[in-house]
Amino acid sequence: MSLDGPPRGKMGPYQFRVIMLGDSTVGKSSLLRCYTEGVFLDAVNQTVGVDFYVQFVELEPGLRVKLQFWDTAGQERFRSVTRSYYRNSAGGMLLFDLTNRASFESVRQWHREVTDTVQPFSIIFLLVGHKSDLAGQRRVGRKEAEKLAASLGVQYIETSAKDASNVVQAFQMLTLAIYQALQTGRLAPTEAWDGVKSTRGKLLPLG
Amino acid sequence: MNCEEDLYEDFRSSSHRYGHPGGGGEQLAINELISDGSVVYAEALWDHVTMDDQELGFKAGDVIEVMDATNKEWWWGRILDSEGWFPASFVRLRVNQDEPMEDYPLKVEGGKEDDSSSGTRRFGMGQTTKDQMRTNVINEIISTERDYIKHLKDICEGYIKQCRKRADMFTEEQLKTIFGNIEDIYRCQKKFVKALEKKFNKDHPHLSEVGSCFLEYQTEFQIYSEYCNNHPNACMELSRLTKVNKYVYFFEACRLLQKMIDISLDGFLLTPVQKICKYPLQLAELLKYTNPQHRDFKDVEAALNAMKNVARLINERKRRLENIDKIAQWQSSIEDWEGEDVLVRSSELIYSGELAKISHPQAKSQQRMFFLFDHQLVCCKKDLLRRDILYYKSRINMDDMEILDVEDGKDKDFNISVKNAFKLHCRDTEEVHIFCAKKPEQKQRWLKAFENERRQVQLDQETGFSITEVQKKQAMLNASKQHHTGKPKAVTRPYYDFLMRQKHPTLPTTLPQQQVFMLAEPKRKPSNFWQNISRLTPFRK
Repeated sequence: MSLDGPPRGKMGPYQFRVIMLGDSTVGKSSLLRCYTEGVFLDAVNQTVGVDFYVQFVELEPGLRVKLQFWDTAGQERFRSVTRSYYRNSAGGMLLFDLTNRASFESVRQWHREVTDTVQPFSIIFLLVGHKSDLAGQRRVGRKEAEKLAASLGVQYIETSAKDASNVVQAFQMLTLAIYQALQTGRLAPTEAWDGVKSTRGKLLPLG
Repeated sequence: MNCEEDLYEDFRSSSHRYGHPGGGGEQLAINELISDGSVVYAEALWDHVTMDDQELGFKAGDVIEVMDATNKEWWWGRILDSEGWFPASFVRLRVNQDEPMEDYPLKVEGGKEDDSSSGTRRFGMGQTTKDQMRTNVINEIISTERDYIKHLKDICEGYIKQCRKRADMFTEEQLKTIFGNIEDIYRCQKKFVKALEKKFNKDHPHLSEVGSCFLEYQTEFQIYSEYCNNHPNACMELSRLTKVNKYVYFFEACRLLQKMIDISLDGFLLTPVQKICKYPLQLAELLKYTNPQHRDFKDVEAALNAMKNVARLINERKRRLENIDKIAQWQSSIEDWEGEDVLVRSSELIYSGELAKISHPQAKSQQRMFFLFDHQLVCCKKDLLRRDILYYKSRINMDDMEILDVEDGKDKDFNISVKNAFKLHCRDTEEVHIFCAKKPEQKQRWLKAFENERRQVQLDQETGFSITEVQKKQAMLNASKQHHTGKPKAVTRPYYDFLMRQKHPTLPTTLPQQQVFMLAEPKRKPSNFWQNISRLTPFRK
């Protein structure tokens, strides 16, 4: 994946809003930061304040997608208020900590909470088992996580912000899944015209 | 509250721009300190498990002496006898650089080092680091506040002003829906940032005393409640409008004209929501780097509490508002409803379950479903066959009632033997009802619920919580609309789910419950409704 400047392709940029979900301390921010700041030293990434992050992903040559993340870590307890973030999101990273059983058990709840809130729309999720580097303290097996993912109809990946393993892949996977859902109509942009699609899979005019 | 601390822990360790040891100025400061010969301590946030003998293994919470931080990602450090490399992102610099001696046994053997001099040096340098950290946090508070003001200004001047010029496109009411009271927020924040700037000590940012600003504005910040409550409506209105090209072009033109960053309007409209949740986090961070001796300490501590309360209050109000829709739906699922809507006096389902009720001596005991809301207890009867259908029977005004615990055995008033019973007694009319739960735990839960009900009522009075008539009407209207769209009134399966989720075993075990509702309605997609209402119930953490 090479990123050598702001996207100027004819196709883009698609803009997807992505939300990070999961219990506190599962590592939402660290995963996000590892992705937006740590991995690509040469990457084009803007940090607008600390309030949201923007990152470009090139799904295939010429097809750049702009991901917009809102930092909501630490605000989990203001659940009713933070529900506002769910609307108009195209994707959700559903995180749990591989070494923390309870965080795994909360996944369904997070999933339901978001799907209930955004209906009749839908959001594309990716289930992420985080902190895979702590193999010795693992409390959640890959098999059962995969089973949960299958029952939610989402993909599963294990990541670590420590060794940066699978971090890029995770975001790539989610972005691709959103893109494909848009293509197949599973995720419908509310309106499409002249290549400018609004909100759900937001495609803004070149900026 | 443990989990609350964890939240802050999570925030500190991860999302904070300055809290991260890799971040620019701070790293320079660390290296300067180290090269000055002072001892810098870091605290492990994560376990670092390693087989490599070049690396330093540790557990989360361990204290590490940082000896070299020239590399951005890997630092060299020491714990007791072992030294090695460790990932910088696994630690954060210790807050209290000046007090490592207490819980961290250094292997300083007498004679090797002059204890007293190194002690003072440590103290002094630790203080410098902490001052640097405080400077960082203060700078961040100021700079995010300026950014925020810029966003608000852009929204008010870039969008609202332009929209007002186009009366052909927007009614004043529409603008009110989309932008809520953001102009009030802008005015409030302008004053607030001015107050902050006044307290900002440019030459020595760490000396700034900003705590009082937050304290001063805590009441005014409650205007965010209105904004947050309206936000879903704003989103809906916006997505309705942007189905029409002309509006998409218009908003985009506004953005470009105002030279705003490439975020859509609905993104900008999120910033106030985010802001009001962020203050507690920023203040927690500030408090961490504020010495108890600092002139700002008491205020920062109070400000943190105040901002937590503001956010909590706003959250609570939003939650309650979301609840009224569910309560309205609940009421419209009840057959034979009589009297005023439950929303007229109540806005929260406190508890529910099955109890046997006797209202007069000599009367037969009746098995009923009870729903305890703030101010009232609603009594319903289950349909004999379709146990999911409820019929409205009566209600009890809780404001006039006192709750009496009844001992197992013979009850004098009713002249019957009771078990797991309690009474509701009306002080004015002498009206008495006796209720029996199946199990002692259930009775205890009910007693607890009645306490919670009173507490809730009192709290609402104190905080002035109320739901407007318009909101109530809207909720009832929405609920009745849903019913008229052809949905059968009974909510079979979900009701069962609801009972199960309640986790109080009210279902009679003798009745083949499963069979009953299967007979009644063979195939039904579970709706979220009962799940939702079950989530309204208390005993949340």
